[in-house]
Amino acid sequence: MKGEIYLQKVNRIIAIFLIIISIFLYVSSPSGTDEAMLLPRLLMILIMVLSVLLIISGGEKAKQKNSQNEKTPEKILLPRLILTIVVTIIYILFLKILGFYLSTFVYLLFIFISTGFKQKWLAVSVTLGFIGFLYLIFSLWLKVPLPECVFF
Amino acid sequence: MNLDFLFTAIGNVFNPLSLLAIFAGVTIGIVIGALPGLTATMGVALLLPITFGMKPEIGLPMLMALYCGAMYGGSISAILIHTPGTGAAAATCLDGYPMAQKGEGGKAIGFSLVASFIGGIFSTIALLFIAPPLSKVALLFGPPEFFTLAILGLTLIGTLAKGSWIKGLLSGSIGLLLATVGMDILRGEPRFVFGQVHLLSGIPFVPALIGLFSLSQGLILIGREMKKEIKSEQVSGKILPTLSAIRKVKNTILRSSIIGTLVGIIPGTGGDLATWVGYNEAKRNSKDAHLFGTGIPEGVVASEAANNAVTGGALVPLMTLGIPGSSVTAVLLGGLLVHGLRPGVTFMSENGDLSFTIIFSLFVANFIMLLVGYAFAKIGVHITRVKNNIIAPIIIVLSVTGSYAIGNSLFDVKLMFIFGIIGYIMHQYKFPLAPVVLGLILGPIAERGLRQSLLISSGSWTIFITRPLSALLLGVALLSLYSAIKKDRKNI
Repeated sequence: MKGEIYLQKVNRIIAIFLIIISIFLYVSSPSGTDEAMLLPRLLMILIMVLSVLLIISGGEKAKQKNSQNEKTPEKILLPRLILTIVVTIIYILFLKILGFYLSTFVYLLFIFISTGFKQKWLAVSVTLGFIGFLYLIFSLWLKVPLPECVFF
Repeated sequence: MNLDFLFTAIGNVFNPLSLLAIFAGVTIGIVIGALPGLTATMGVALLLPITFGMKPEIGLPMLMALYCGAMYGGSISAILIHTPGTGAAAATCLDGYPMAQKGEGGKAIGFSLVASFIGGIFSTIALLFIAPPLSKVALLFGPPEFFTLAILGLTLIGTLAKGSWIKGLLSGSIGLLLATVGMDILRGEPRFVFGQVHLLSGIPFVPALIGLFSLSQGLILIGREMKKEIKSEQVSGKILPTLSAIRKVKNTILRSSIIGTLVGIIPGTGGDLATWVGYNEAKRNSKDAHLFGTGIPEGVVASEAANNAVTGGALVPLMTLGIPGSSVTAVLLGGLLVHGLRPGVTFMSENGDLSFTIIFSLFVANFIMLLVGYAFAKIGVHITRVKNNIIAPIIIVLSVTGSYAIGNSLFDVKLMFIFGIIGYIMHQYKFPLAPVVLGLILGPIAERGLRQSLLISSGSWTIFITRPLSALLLGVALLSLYSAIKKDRKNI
């Protein structure tokens, strides 16, 4: 029950967010030719209507009675998730500076160790093995030009 | 059926490279299916960029083979550790795990393998005979029909997908709106590009797809508790069932195969639904209904034949109408588009040899699945033990690599990441993802159909109801919406 109420609250927040975005896009869309904006405007109106329906209905009530295997919401390890997201952003930004293979090596090793991989030598082996696999598939076989390090 | 196409297809499939690709696809599929937390959709999305460098006759069968393998692979962890590897194997847990607990783990996997094989072959035969005549009907389509077909596809996927129909339709509408980003298709005016040159040709949907299905999955796994040491049942004894044992469950296998094929044909559904419908119908029609859940082969074959039968059925609407029957075929649709092919009403007539190659390769994939699946049965228990903190970062790196490989552009990687975050949020708060992808893909078709229809009718919207086929499609869409609303009210 607690999970259902939480989900309904989140549904309402998401619905309000969608309404705001739709209004913003509708108002700021170029007046240009009406023809070009016909479908986008229809869709924005539809999204607003559906969002209002979502707020009214809650979105979850009807399905709760039907769901056979409804479990309590899964616990999320938020600090680890946020750390991974931040490190992934840094990884993507550094791809063109350190090059694909070096940044991937550092990224994987960091994530493995920070998420509890106890045997460091195994973490290094798995990382090197996987990078070797990527090299075989993408560089040797498919000849995809992956980012290279700017320093060497 | 055009025999020339069939012979070309046989030639395309029976060459060493194609067979190797299908073998690789099945093997990767079984591994992905066996790993809880990974999905067939994610697997196809990740493998998609790798197939870019291949000819469509090799790359596309490889993706289908992965689908096939994953549908079976999910049963391995369902049987051994009571955790379905994919949603489509959920019902297999009910009888598969009790069988393993009784020391019949090998037998359960054997029954699962045979049922998956028969279900897959049945649906491929159905595809071979249903698809060509259906594609002739599809040639009657004009702009109004294309528009209403796109609306029908989205309505079906939105209302039949798991969860609230409002959320399903919202997801579809968001996907359609995202598809309008870029240059307007008829006037060439930029829309919603916000000064970004990369967006002028629209949102590249393969990075969006990889983000929505793969990166989000990696984030979901990383945010989960580590798998504790799960006691897993061992696989011992004979694996493949005897012919007489198969004969005892043949009616169940056949019924589930028919159910799976029909479910696969309906857009928006897939293995997750088929497995439960197959299991429930088997129980309802069985003389030993009271034994279901205690560990009987009938329970295992009921769910497994149904979920593998979806693979062929889901290709029927994709190849004839351009509407995917499941989320996996939605990703496959993306794969076809990247190879310069547009599945839809003219696909089979314009690409007969490729269509039959895909169908025939599905046959071959099922046979290879039988061999590889047998080999995997004994080592399956080790696959299920790989921890989330190893799989998740690997998925993330593959998502980055795959999205970069498409256009050698970091912009695609950044876009993939944004969609990955969106996909994660949608998953956490139970918004279905498949309608977004479908909206992205069907958006241009819907808009072109709408604008051309209004040009033909001089701006009159009645064109969509005065043309019989268009009116029929619109009627079915409204009916689907009405039943979803009615069901919703009944359950409150």
